[in-house]
Amino acid sequence: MTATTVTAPSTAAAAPLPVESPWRQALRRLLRRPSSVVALGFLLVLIVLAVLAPWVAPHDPLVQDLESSFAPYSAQHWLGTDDLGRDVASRLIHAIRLALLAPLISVGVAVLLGVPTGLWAGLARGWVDAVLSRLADALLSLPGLAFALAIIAVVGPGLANVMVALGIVFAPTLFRVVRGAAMAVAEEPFIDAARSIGSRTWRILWVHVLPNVAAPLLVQATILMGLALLSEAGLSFLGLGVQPPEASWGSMLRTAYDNQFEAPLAVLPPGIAVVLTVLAFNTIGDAIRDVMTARGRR
Amino acid sequence: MKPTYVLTRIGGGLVVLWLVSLLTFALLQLVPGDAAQLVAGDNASPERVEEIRRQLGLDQPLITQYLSWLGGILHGDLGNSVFTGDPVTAAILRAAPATLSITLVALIIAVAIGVPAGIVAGLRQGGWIDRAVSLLATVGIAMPGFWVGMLLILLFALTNPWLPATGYAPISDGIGTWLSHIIIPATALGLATGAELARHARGCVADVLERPYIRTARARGAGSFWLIRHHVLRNAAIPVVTVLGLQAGRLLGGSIVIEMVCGVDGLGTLAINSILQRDLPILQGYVLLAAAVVVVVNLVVDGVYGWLNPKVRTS
Amino acid sequence: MTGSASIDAIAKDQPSAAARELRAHGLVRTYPIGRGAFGRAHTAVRAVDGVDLEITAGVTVGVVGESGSGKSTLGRLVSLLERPDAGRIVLDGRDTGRLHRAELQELRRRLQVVFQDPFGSLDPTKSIGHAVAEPLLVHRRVRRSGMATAAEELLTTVGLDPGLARRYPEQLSGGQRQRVCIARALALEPWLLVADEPTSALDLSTRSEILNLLLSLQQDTGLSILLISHDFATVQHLAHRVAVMYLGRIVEEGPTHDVVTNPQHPYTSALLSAVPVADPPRQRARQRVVLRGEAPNPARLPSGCRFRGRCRFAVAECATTDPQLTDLGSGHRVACLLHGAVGPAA
Repeated sequence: MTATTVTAPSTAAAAPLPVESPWRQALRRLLRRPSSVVALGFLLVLIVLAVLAPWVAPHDPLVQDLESSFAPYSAQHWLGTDDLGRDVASRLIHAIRLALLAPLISVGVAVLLGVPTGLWAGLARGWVDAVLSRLADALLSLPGLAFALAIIAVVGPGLANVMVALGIVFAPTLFRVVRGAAMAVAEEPFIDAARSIGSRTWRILWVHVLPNVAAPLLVQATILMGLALLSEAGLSFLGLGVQPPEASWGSMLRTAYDNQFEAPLAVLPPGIAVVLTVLAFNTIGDAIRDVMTARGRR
Repeated sequence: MKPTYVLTRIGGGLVVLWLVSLLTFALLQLVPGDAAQLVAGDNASPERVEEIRRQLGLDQPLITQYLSWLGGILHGDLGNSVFTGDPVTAAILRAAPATLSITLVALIIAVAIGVPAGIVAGLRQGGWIDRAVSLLATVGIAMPGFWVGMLLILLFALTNPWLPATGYAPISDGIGTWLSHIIIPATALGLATGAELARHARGCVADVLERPYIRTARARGAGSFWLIRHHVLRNAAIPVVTVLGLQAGRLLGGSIVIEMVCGVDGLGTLAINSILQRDLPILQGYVLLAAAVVVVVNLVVDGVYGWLNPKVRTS
Repeated sequence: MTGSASIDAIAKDQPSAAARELRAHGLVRTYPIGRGAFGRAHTAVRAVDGVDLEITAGVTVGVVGESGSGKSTLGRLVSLLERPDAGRIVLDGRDTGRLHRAELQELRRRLQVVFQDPFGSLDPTKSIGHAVAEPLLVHRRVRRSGMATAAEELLTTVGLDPGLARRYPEQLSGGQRQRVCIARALALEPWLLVADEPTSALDLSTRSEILNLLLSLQQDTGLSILLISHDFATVQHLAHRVAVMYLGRIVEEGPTHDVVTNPQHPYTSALLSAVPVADPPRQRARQRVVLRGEAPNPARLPSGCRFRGRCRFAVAECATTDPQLTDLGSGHRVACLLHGAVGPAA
């Protein structure tokens, strides 16, 4: 076909609009909210501390000093020491790694399991959807922690197992979110448009459906990060997660609980750390929800 | 409500329970390696392993195992504990009252605090009450229940010896004694649910107040009290009931760690010990029971929902 | 029409003699309505009920009908977005119902689609450049790095500023978006464009721009268009041939000039009489044929001729005989027992 130029005066003039993808727009709106800036800043500080933990922490988190167990807060031990004389502040800082990594891996596993199945069920409908949805209903009727316990009973305790177990527990939630959103997107004319140019199904799913379900997926995933941290803390508290001598905020809470007569205030630092981090995840999740739905409403 | 609607819901619940039974049954099969060896422990004699294999029915064909297990459940027989040899049903019945007490009291606390706080915040949007409630609710959701339990014990049992730090007393010991043991774990458990309820109630009241017919009523000069009585409460009840259905599972799950913290011998403690002792039949019973509770609660919630919202009845 | 150029192209592109030709025969598409227990359909509507259609290179065919006439369903069938329940579509000599998926994907590039809703038919998460060059990427005509250049060229073809390639759909007007959709449809150099109501979502001033764009594409490149519209005026403007649909059937079909000046079906003349004429004295003198009643429920069609309930000329025989398309000579066909009873609309 020979190229034909049709002049159209009304449309040819380029308006001086800033070129911005919907993602950048959402990010800009997100950064305009003080609460999400604070939450993101807090997480950023945690990430930096996690990476630099060996240099930032004042002491080795694993070195015991039974002479000075249960030391009070001091210049040398900012947050005191635990039953084995280990520096609490250093353990707290080193545990940031697990506090960030455990939710990341749990939610990652949940995404790997829940997103492809959700997309598939949402687009294929029919018996595929019926079977997968019933299965998700069944899994969601189990209390999350009880379900995680059942999996741990099978595969045994340990941090890696806990993270995978939580991923399996969260998968049906993501499945539901993605399935619902994918069903709505599948009705959009641009899906027909993609088929009309000869796109294969997998390409349509990956290129057109997934980015359009990203908003609810991102919101749910962020909120699950908080839930994962809470669950990991609980399971490590029970001794099913991280194994000694390594520290996680949950296992530090257990140490504090076991010694609550000797050092009653030791429950505060790890607990506050958990609350602040979960708060940061939830704040960002809520903010993404507001920012993304504002885009749809416009 | 149309009978077909009710029947469809109950049928759906039964399908879910059946799937849960499959999954629970699969627990024993999914154990890597030999389940009997795992249950018996590493240094058990071969005879002991064989005995456990027979006891768990692992020497039977898979389908026979499942059918006899399912048949047992339908008769209320969940098998026997590998550790003590007691029937699982008995162990669960022994532990259930404590968990039931904590969960119900937690629910009462959550509703009693969360719903009024949310409604007031919704009615006074942007005011200081609203801001305080929203802040507290956001923080409340982010707090691990078991940590709250530890703080409460620290404050009300250790620093000030007003309440017993640990343990559970049955209601037959007197309401006061029972309540004094229950109040700390129940508060710890109910806090997050209360916070969740407050957020939803607030959002719902705000939503109802935006509706044209409410604005018309206000313009007509209808008083606040009248509005709350006639429109806000009924409309706000719908999402609150829905949230309660979703929270049933969370309360049961949350009680596991809180029971541990507060030294309550409930279902959660039973479940933990069954994992530590590799007592899989007990864990299976617990998982099945928890799922059944969630399914039944959600059926009831659906019913109440249909009663509150006539639109659902016909669809 | 640029006859010689397109024939050369055929010779290079197509091995078979039947190249650049779309033949649809006996198309039927049924939709279930209302579902009972276990998801079984109570009743079904025949949206398209036995339609034949033929489109050859360089010819624009218009399909006119009211909403519910099945014209959009026909468009979706021809666009290969849905499969017919009966009948077959032969594109460039190949029966599309018998092709494997891969062969069908390959065949799709000969026929491209412009959708009705330019707001919904562009993915909001993709830039305009991506939307326009995506067909080339899918068919491996360009690499990802070449997309920008290809997109800019295509945007120029439809009279848009190539700078728009970096924008996103929500930043464009309806008319711009529809041009983008046309550019995207042209990317694979199809010989046939299926356009279902391409202008109905646009405001009046933009409509004529889009129609003129289609007209110039047709004249300059020999593109064939299947133009589907409820509006005779739109179709008249572009189409060489026109087919009038009523309740899933074609009731009249022929060269546009013949059909417009000498409509043979009472339904056609009714539609034509609703088109204003740009000549006030003639417009005033015209007799407006107003249709009686509404189209019957497509799930419960009357016996015999489907139009008889609204027809001024209906006779007893219309209730018993279902009229078939009959050729009146010179390719003008009508499905009416009384053809000739209706005079020119003007």
